[in-house]
Amino acid sequence: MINYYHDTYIEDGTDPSALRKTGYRKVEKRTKLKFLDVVLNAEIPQIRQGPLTRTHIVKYAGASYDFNPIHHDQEFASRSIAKGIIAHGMMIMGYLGKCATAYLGTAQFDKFSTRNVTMARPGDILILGGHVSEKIPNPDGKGGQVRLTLTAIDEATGELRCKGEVLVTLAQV
Amino acid sequence: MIDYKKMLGMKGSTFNCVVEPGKIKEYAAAVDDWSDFFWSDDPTIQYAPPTFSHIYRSGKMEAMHMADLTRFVQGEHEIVYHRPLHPGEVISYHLEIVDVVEKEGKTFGPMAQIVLQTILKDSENKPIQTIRQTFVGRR
Repeated sequence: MINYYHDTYIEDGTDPSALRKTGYRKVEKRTKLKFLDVVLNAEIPQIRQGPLTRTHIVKYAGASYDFNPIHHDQEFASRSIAKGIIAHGMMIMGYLGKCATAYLGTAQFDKFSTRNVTMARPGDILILGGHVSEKIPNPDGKGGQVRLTLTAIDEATGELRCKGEVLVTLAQV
Repeated sequence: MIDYKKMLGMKGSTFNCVVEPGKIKEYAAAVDDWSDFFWSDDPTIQYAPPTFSHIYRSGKMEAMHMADLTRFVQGEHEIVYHRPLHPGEVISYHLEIVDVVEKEGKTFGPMAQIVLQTILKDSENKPIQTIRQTFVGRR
């Protein structure tokens, strides 16, 4: 059922012949993390996302129905406050959600918030990561909530693009 | 200069939409997330990615029609989840401007901060998500 999306490899300029060697993207099996296994201040495995291309941005525009021309029309974007094409803030929030989901093994959060700090542009390689900033055990001693602090940082300049937080409830074991 | 205080309490019209399983996959692909629960064909297993509800956000322009949106950028975005969002559900959006703060910025002069709250409800009128977006801009 997911074959339809497999032809999107060219969005990052990959040579189709290279794909035959590396294989297609596969759905990844997730297992929900246990409260006991979470260590305070532990680093979340980093994800290197990018380089972002105009095609990634257009793909997000289509999926989200957000067709503000600042995200795909070079002429319009050059005249705008952004002085060029920028990625959707919600696309970067989506990437941070993906980073938290991969670590937690679930996308069923209690709360998710982000703040856009600088604009992400085509060519950016984003380093998605973060750490466990709080563990809140349930009063009954079984499981509890975990707070993650997340960042998306441009690899080349070290600039913070977006920061965020995820609050999630995990079972004890 | 626009009096943004008048925008407080403005609402967007309520509308319904259906969460489509294929749209969940399309959105998951767009944020490059290959987690199995987004790609399952079993509607009891599949659920929507955390920021999926953003896609049916029509009504924002209606609630914000008094603002000059070319002067505004979205600062913060916060989603509180009451339960997961599953495919096939009929959901409705309830938008309202819940806070307007006018202040004098040191660099940019007169500024306004507008908080738009969206409550996403199911067919039984129970909340699924509460979304708060903060827009910041020049007056």
